[in-house]
Amino acid sequence: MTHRGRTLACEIAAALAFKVIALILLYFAFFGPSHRVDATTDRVASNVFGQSLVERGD
Amino acid sequence: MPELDVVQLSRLQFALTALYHFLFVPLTIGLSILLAIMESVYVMTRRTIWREMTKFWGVLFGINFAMGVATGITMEFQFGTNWAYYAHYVGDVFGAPLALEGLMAFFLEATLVGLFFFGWNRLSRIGHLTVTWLVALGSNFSALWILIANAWMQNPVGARFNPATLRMEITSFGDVLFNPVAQSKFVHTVSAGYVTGSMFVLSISAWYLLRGRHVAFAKRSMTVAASFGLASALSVVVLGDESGYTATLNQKMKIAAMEAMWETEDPPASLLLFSIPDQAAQTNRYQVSIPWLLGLIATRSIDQPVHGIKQLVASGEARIRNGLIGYKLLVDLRAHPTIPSSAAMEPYLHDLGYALLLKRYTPDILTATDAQIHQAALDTVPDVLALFWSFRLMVGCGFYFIALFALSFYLASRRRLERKWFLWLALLSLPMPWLAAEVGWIVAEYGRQPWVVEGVLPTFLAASNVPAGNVIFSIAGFVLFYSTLAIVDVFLLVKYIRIGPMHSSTPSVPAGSILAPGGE
Repeated sequence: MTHRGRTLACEIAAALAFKVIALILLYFAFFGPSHRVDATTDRVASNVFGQSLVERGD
Repeated sequence: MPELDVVQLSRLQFALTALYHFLFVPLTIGLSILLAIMESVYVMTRRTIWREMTKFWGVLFGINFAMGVATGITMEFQFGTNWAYYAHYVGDVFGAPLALEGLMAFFLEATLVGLFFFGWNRLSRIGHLTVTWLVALGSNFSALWILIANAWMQNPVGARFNPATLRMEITSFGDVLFNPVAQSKFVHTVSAGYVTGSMFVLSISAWYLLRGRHVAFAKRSMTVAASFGLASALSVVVLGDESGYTATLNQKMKIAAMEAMWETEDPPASLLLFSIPDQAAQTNRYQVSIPWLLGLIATRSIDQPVHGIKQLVASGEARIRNGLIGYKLLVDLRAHPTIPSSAAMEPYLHDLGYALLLKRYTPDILTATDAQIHQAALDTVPDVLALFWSFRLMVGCGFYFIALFALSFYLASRRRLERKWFLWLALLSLPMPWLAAEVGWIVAEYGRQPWVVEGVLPTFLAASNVPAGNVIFSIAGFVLFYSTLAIVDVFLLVKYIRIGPMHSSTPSVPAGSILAPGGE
């Protein structure tokens, strides 16, 4: 590999490493399992359709 | 139901991530095909200049690919957090093409891109060319699956609502796959990517010629970009027309809003060239129109009407009332699960989404007043002013690309590419394909409002009840992350563009000799 090729590979590797770390941080800071909304059928019934479906629901 | 400001923030977050993501995508799609074309010429002619062209533009492709890859994953993060009800309601349909995108297309592309870069001296010419074409196919197939998923949100075919699970479920995967909106959207989007790739090559080559560097290389690159760009620019307009035609059939309100058409005209409808739509007054100010043109384009006939917004609002009211019957049936079905759902219920359940628009005005929609029903029907009208001008900006860019690439093609064929005014024009046009693509997405997605899935699920009901502060912080995180990536992307691209082709010992040739045999 040429010098330019090695430099490019290093720069891309560094950028990719930054990206992976940033994505992991973003995921755990805002989107990890603890932040996820548990959308069960009953919660959908309540939030999307309204209480009428939950109260009289199965 | 979440607070509206959380809905707006979640929408803003998704829109920002999608628009940022799409800064990288069209260049990857476009350059991948251009690389395959350049390398094909190399394999056929054995002229090493074509190999150097493939390698140089391949480096820029690689930088953009590395910066862009996985930037779309943040949208998938949001499905579970900000759009949990959307994910539950339509995930059975929407998840399949997303998973196929990851399995079939992304891995194909990501695996072979390494072979493209490191396989030059390890693979045979044909072997490497095969890899390059597979990288290009992978890029395009990624777009296909994503656009199948997106098209289902515009035209939800091949699925039905299950009252027991409160979810949309696939009834025909073939219908989802061969959704006419997906087909037209796919070819329109990838053609836009080809235009972006061609413009990139044309503009950077113009910069080399302005600096008097890598002249033979730049001229040859410009010739490829001019011919491929012209074909792509023509395709993108023709296929965009097809995309508009499918929207005329499935998303009449979007078309009416894009055209600021408040009343249904006698066919064929006229096309507004210029206007300032006033949504509150439901009228247009200062309009300039061309008779017949919209009717001919949108319906491809002279006797079919293009429905106006007011008429569509009235039909929306009827669908809300129909949907309320469906809602009542659903309440009964949920209260008495032993009642079998029948085909007779289908037309009412089909309009259930329209009834749900009332949730913005009353928690018990069965008691909605006529005024509330009318207000909910008015909500089916997207932002007319934004759509009207976004669409015209996109179309204007499309015609500009045809003119620019036609001029480039003419100059290349006459061996007059080195005219300074033209080189400056080509260089300054570099951002325009991105502008066109971004406003195109604004037309497609903003024009779908108030629906997250057209006619099925209103956007405000699809969002999760998450604290607004969380969404503001995550938006800030995303803006910082994507801005850094975009800056690094531009920095690396500029750096390697400045360095130029690896073996630029290719002798500079006098102006006019572009089509002469070249290479080292």
